[in-house]
Amino acid sequence: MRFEFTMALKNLWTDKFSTFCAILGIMLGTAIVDVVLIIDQSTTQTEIRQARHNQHLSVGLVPTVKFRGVLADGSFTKPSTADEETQEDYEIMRAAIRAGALGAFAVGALIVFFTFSVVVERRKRVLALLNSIGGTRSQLIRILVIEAILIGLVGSLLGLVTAFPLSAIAAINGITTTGRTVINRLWIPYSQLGLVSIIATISALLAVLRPMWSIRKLDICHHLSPRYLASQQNSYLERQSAVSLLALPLGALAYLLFRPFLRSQLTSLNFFLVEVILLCLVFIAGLWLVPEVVSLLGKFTRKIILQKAKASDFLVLRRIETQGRDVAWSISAVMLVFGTLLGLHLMVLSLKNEVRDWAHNATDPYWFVYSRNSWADPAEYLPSTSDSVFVARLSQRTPWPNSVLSISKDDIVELAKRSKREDLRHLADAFEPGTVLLSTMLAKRYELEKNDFLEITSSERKRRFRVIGVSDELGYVPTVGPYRNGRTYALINSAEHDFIQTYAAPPGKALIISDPTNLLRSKNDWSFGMRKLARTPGVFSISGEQFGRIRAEQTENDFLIFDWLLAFTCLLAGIGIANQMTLSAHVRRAEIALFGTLGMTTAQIARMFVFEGLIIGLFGGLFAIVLGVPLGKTAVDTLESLSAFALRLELQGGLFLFVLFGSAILSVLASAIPASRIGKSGKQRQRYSD
Amino acid sequence: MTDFTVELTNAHKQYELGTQNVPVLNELKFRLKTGEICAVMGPSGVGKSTLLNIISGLETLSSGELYVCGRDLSAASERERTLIRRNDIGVIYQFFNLVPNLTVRENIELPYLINEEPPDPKAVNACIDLLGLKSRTEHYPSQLSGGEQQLVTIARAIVRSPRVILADEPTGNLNVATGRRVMKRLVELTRERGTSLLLVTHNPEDAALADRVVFMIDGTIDQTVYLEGADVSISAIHDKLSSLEI
Repeated sequence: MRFEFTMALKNLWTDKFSTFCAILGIMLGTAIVDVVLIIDQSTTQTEIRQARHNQHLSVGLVPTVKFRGVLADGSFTKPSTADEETQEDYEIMRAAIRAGALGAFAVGALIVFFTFSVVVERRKRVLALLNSIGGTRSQLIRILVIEAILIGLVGSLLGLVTAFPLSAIAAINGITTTGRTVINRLWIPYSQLGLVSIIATISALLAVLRPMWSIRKLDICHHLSPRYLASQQNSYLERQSAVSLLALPLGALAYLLFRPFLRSQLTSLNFFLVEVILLCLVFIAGLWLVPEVVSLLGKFTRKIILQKAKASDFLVLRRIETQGRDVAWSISAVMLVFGTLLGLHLMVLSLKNEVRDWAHNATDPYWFVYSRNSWADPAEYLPSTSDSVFVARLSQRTPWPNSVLSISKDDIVELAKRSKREDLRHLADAFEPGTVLLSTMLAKRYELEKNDFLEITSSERKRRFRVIGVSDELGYVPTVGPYRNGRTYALINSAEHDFIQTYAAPPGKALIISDPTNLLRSKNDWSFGMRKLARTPGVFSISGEQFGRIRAEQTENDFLIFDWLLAFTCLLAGIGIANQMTLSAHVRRAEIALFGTLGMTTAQIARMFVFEGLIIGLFGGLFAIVLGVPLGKTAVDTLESLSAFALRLELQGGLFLFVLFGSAILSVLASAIPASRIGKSGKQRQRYSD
Repeated sequence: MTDFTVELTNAHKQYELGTQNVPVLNELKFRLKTGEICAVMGPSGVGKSTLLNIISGLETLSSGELYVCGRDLSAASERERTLIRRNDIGVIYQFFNLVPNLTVRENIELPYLINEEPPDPKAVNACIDLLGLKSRTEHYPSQLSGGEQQLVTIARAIVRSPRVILADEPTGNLNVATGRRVMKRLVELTRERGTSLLLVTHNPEDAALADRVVFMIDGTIDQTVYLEGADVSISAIHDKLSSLEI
């Protein structure tokens, strides 16, 4: 094995930049997955410990009322439990984070796959030479396998080592997998990390499968022939067979036929994952199997956009037109990264829009003052207000998960009147004792609609309340705790507050103050009152607008880990593109030397690489938009089916421009590395012409 | 032990190009004696390089028999052919003969490494000295001239003392003076060591150094000219090539 080891080490050293990129790809891919596992484990462990010590985070530990959903015909509904709802929220979040980490890992593996693919192509002549002087094909394959093992081992070990400080940095910056806790110490899932390292090494090994096959099939004489380079030119003109062109649409058709079946058989979470994975696979396969798409774009760009292109630009576009497959790797990496980024941001945007839309009606027109203590009376702290200011008084909430609060009919009618919404006025008018108004989340949990019943059991008493409507826009008061919990409640008439008084203090513990415009008029009084309030423990005040803003920020914060993940994936994609272009420069050294002999300056040749980077970025960005929109829609649809949130997909032109510019800038920056290497010296040029 | 290092009988080789079969070697009979230097000449596309590829085991015959150093290559597997090439054959090509990421010394030691044996420093140094490469041992191929690269190739081809060397236009890429120097060393070394040399060349001057020149036409040997002991001038080989319209 000495020969194989010597050659493997020599090869790795000779292709230093590619070796570095491949190791970095495996390292960052492994590190990202490891960090996600460590953060996830630490989040889980922290929350378990908090639940043990903090009753407010645990279901069923605090006494509260009990609910049962009763349909209009008297039959009981089968509600999902608060535990399950919350768990599913977190599981989706965790699954999405893991999928994101997997994406980063895939980009890292893609770098190794591409490196070996190109490196073996480049070395074919040397391999043929080694075979001609007595090296068996098995020996040649072993060289490659040793290289892959070395890259895999070094990369995964470095990744493992890097994961520890990165996890600490992430934890310090408040990154968790649920977005609701603070990690104070790290828990390390050693066995999982070990498994990831093994998988990373195996991934590197898998990357040599195809090159191994090509060595097995290597036509030695052809590669030793002086005519080899000429024949290599012809391979540029190879096209995909009709089978591969048909494979994709046929596969898509088959999936569309099976989609309803999968939708009915799989849970929402699994269905979401299947769709996301399939979408990514389809797009990668699309670029890999049908580089003609890239070629066509190249042709289109050359003919339409750049009719009077400079020589360097023209050569790049001709190359993309005739060698779409060569750049398909880089384009697919850009597409994967920015497509995921776009999909994620569309999802976050829809969640923020949901908050904004809801807050516009439910909280924006109001100011809230509420107390978590039974002894504190928020009204005491209220400054004098003008007559036009209306203060609605609500009771405390019964403890989560079954939150009920009460309000007088007069108050709710006045609130509805001030909202100037007919639908809310109708709801308020029907708000009599014995009726209940449900929030959308609670109605969804108990599968109830108007005219169904909510059976509430409280201190040995049981009563059915008729549902008069479902709305989040009447009687909402901000609460401490997760957003979902705050929006899951039932509102009953204060005339029946005694029904829940064991668990919740009477009306007056929460105030909804309408007409903030008039509050501003009596600013001095108001400021005085607010300062007094701020010094009072257990009593909180917040304007509806401020609440909406904070909630939108929190939504963004919940997804902070994704931004972090995607930043690293972008870095990986940049490394991948730089690697691809550097390898391409080596493979094309004769061609580049020819350009030099024809009079192209080093700057012109370097410009070719930068322009190629720009094209890769723009095409990749374009594909990312095509991938990101359905990805975002899938995510939004799944979230909507799981939660009661009214989500809508908003396609913002600015986001698309960001994807296009972001991918272009990343690719251009990555292309600067091969461009600078090309222009280093005349000696380099000489090497190309060898 | 047979007197011949290479014995080729009724050798037929054809390539399938689409639906057509293109014959390259046609009922060719050829023998190379132990220690003999034989030059093969002929027009381009006549099958000279294919002949070398078949003898080295890189390609197989469509039909016919081939014995190299007493072993039947026509019935050997790809691996067996590779092992025969490793142990008994040295190959030299027109260009791209060296592994670019290995130094001169490492390139010369390569046959040992491939055979999983420690390089013989005596043999390696002897080759380096014989070919005048002492000052270049730590240089990479890209740092050598074309002539020096071919000398390194010769060193690598002879270092494990193969019984036959196959050279495909070894001076085709060199200037006249360098080519002359390289060929002189190659012939001297093969004669000193009693190695057979099969040389494919277009250069009458190179061919004139051989014991025998075979002229190939249409995949078979058209004529053989024995130079050993005869006073055949380079111009006579030129005349011969002209008469064959080569």
